Amino acid sequence: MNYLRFEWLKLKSRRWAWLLAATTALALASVIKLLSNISYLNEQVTEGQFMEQAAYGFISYSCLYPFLPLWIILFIGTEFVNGHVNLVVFNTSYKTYFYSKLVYCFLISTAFCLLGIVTMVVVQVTAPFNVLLPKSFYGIFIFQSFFTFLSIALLAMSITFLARNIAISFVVYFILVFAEGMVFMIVKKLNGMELFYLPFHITNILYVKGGEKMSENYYNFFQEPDLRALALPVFLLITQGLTYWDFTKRELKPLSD
Amino acid sequence: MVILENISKRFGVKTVLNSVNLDIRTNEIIGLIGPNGSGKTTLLNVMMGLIRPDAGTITISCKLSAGVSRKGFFGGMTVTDNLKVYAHLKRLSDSDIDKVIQLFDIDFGKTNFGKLSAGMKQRVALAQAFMGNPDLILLDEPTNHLDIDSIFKLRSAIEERKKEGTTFIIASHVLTELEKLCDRALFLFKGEIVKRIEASELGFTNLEAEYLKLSVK
Repeated sequence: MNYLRFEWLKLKSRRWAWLLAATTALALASVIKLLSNISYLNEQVTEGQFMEQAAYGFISYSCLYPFLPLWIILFIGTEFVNGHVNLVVFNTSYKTYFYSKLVYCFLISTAFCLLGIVTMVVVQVTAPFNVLLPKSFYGIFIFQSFFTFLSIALLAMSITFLARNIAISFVVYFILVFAEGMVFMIVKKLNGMELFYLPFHITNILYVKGGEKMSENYYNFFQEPDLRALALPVFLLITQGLTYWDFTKRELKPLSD
Repeated sequence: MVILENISKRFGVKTVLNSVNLDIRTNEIIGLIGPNGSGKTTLLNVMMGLIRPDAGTITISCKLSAGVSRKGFFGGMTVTDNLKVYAHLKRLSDSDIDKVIQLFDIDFGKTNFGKLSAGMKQRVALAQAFMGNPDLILLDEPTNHLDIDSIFKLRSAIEERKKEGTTFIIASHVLTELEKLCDRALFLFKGEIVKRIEASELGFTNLEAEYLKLSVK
């Protein structure tokens, strides 16, 4: 079974997916371009921080609701709702379906990463001043954005597999992000303790210090590696393992009209 | 090719299947008859591996296919693309798609699945089930929403495939259709197979009268 071809076949055949792709690309690129210029013109960022700010903005905005999570929850959720999962499991196995979805997350993360590179080039070329970048900038950006997107995609995938419903998945995702942010902030204010090991903080560790999303926290992972990032692959392995376990243990809805 | 031994399944307090035993032989057509809620669809879903029985064992030693629902297709995708997805999944070629497109006279391949009428969707679901050369095809109410021409086509497709060695299990309320096609008939009431009519008796049995007798009990 060629998982990549299978997922690509489904993705490219849905006509509305192309419309969504165009909207996503246009919306993300223009928002980042606009915000970068506004920040610079309002003297909120210096020339030295200009591209870093844009990189932070792109990764951060992509992880918001209408972008990366939408592509994961909407597409996987639809397959649970329309019975496609049942037919795949019947014709092949639970493992095949699960693996194909891991490949789908990889595919979407790659697409967002490529969009990020294009956006960064656009921001650089159309900047209001001559931008000089270290040679490593794009390499670091690819590393940080791809693995952050993959982590968020896998997390959104787990939520969708557990909920097996598009609307519930969106609500759970929203509540989790909101509740985690609140808990992190309250505990930090009361105890000065940073609950770094919360799901959405740990997945942000590759581009923001301590996983706390604030533009001033954007950092070069290779210059100041945070060893707590080693917990990220462990965390993802555990969540995917648990998701697969739940997927195979809980029965699918009977297929009938 | 498929052996079901003492299959039982409960949904909450309701027993949907109760110690069902069934031995499906090669190259036969089995009719599954029963009222709504008698467990026909659950039995097919158990055989598909989508529902796990609470007790009993299933032994499957053949390649299964199923046309038990119009679900599983993408509304925003054309009919041909939908079939391509399943052809890829079953490791079949484009010629396998062409064969079933001809078999069920699907001349709306470029239309989005979501825009089709119920009868057209049913033909696509049947085409998906007939793709490739499965040993056993499970069909749940296959004539639902079909027009008369499509029913004729389905009937001849089943007879043709049977000649090639395919086995069928057909759950249906259309008893006259089953009388024409089946080698064996099983009556499922309240999750139990209460009567089996073998090939030797089927020619002399009126399924409708038999059903009425059983439902009165």
